[in-house]
Amino acid sequence: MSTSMKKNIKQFITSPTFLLFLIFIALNVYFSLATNRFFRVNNYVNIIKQSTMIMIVGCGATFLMMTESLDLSVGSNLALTNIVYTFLAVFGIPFLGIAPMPLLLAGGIVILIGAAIGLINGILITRFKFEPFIATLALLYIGRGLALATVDGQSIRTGIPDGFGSIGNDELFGIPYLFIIVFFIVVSFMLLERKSVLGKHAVAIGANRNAAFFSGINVDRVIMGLYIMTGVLAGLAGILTASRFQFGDPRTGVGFEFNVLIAVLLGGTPLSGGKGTIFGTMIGALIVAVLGNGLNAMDVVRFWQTVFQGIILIGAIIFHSQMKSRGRAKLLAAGTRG
Amino acid sequence: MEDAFIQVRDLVKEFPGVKALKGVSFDIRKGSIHCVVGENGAGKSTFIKILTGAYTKSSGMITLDGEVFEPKSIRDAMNRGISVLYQELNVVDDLTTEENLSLGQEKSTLGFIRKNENTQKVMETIWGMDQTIKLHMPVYSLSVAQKQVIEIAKAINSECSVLVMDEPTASLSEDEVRRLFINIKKLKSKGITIIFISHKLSEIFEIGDYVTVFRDGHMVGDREVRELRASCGSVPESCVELVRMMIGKVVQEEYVPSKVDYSKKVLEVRHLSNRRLSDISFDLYRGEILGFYGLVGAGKTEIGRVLFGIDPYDGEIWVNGDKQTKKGVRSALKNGVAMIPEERRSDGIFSMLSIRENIPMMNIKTVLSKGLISYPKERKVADRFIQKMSIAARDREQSVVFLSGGNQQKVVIAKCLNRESDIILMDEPTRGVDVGAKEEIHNIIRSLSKEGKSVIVFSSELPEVIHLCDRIVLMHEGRIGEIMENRKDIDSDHIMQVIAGGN
Repeated sequence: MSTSMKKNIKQFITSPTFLLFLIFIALNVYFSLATNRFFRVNNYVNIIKQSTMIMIVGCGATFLMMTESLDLSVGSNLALTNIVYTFLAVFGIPFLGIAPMPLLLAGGIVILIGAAIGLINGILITRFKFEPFIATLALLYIGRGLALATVDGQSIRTGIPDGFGSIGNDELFGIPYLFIIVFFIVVSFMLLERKSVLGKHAVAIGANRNAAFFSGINVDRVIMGLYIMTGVLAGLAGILTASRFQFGDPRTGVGFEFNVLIAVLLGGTPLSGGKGTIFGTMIGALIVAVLGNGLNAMDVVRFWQTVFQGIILIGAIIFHSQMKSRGRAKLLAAGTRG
Repeated sequence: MEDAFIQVRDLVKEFPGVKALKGVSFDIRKGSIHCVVGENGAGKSTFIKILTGAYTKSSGMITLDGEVFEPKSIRDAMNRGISVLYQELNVVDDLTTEENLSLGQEKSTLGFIRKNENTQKVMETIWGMDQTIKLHMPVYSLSVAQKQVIEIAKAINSECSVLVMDEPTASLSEDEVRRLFINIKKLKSKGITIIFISHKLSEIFEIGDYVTVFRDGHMVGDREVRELRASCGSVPESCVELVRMMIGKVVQEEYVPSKVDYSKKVLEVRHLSNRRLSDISFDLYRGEILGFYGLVGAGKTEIGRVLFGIDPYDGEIWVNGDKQTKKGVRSALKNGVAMIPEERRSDGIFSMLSIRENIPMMNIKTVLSKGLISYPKERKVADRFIQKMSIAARDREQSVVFLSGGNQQKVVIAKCLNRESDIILMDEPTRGVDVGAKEEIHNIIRSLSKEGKSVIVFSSELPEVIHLCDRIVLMHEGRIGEIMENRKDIDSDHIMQVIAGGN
């Protein structure tokens, strides 16, 4: 028992995810030493808040990338749901004579919109055999255009109803609702990853799509389901951002899809699929947020932050490919049996 | 031989762990059509690859027109006049005929492509074979046969003296084959030496001058086709002598009849036809091991694919008395038909996943507990199969990619058995596994039949089917030649005659 525990511990501390975690700690130490505005409880609450949207959508995106798919439309999805949610809450549907809606109803409708975008992605990819990149790029444009068209390019800042900012800002026993929601989603996705048939099938599809097909796994349905799931999560993120900042903005979430992509890649899920962990993506999301926040605290101009993000991405990919070739060499040295 | 254009002497090619060619010697005459035949793994493609510069030999010698010939690369071989017409044609679909002809040899002024005088010459060669091909046609609008014509013309105009054709008829219609043969004869009359690789014996008799047979890395026969035809009598296509050379001596070992329940028909196939199959009808009984045997390309895999719901078909399939209406892999599995695919690596295993994760993939229900994956159940399922099938692995967490071929195949079989299907299709169940694992896999198949399951084995190894199967379906070019009962004193000469297309 103790030897197997030792083995497990050894396996854990040499795993890429753990090393990534060390990099995350190192970034924290660096920023703490470099500026006295970084290492504070308040700032950490901020960092987590900044990473929540990436974490929420990253859960779906990780599953998608495990199957060798990706979704570039999540940023536009977030913007569209953000603005429609605010619009429904403030104006209702004027041309149908429908009065401003209760938040729960508006939220429900908007989640369906998010799901619909996922569904369209899924149909294009499974039925019409689009490349995921192309299908979701098209939806990136359509979603953003619809978001802007809905409000004529204007943001909605007046007439915000009471309680609109509640879910994005209030706390329960001192813990922000936002954290509770993220915690709940992340834990369910970790469960999904390890314990659900969907998770198993997603891994199988990524590992060998042909073998999955020969095993009778319904490849198209799994992929369709994952796109819808990701769409729903992006819709939820749209609601939460609207609530957090207490206004609707059709220009929100520009480049969000790439922040999600970077977090997932940092977390060790390759574009080629077949593996990946929700936990890794969460660390990836935190690294993205810490980097942004820390550089802000050091008064580094925003433009340069983008440069650093790119460099971190390059570093992460090199890191993962090194880990992979080292791991393979070790396993090969252990010998293939005759 | 005096007029030998290519002389091969004691040619050996070793790969780590295997000898693909074990000292091959024969001659190829100038201006002849020389056929090379042999089953998979016989060594013929290794030979071709050495001749065309894709591989370098381990030892031995090849001479070309009296000079020692040791090509360093494919280009090097081409410069010495050896061209290859690959099965996968080397044309770019999106370019026009003209652009394809000058590909890689474009002449340009200041970066702009100039007209190539050579193109006109090649076009004339093309028109000599097929007048319907035009200079400005995009190649994707041409048929496979027409694309072949382009490639042949290119080869001739690069002044080749030897043209190697690797199964050129594999994807041609009968009509196109006839036209190809006319063109091959024209090439011959121009003094070009043709090396023709084929699995279809009828083609050898139709077009070949000489035939060399490879088996297990040896040259086992080198004959003049005319002489062979004379010794074969009235039906040259069914030349038992040739088939026997290709397949070798078959010793009936210990065939043990299964306890077949002939009152329970589990599968009934009637008049199955599709692009590759015609009029296939047979039955399968409970507890039976049924074998499908034929040369490469006889349609064995195609039957498996139809039964497993992958390929479309006309005709009827009845499973346990129910006519199949829905197509697709998932409905086949639901009806109790499971398949072990031929290509283990690309279609069978999830190579980077562990044994524990691989085995339940075909039937995830077996590891669920209250709707969630249960690790203890996964462990139990994996351990049960590792023990039952004696899979040699470090432990159940080992990635399948690091197992030997035989053990990988056992994982694929375990994955399939975990599905608990009543009818199990196995396409080349022991290809690429060592002798010991082969015997173990055969025993697994026998024990399945004892449990009352029915197994169909598709195999291109005769010993495999006659050791294992209760009845053997002999296939020839997409048709069933004969369905025979297996017995201890089975007549292997007769089998060879049937799979060669005779009666």
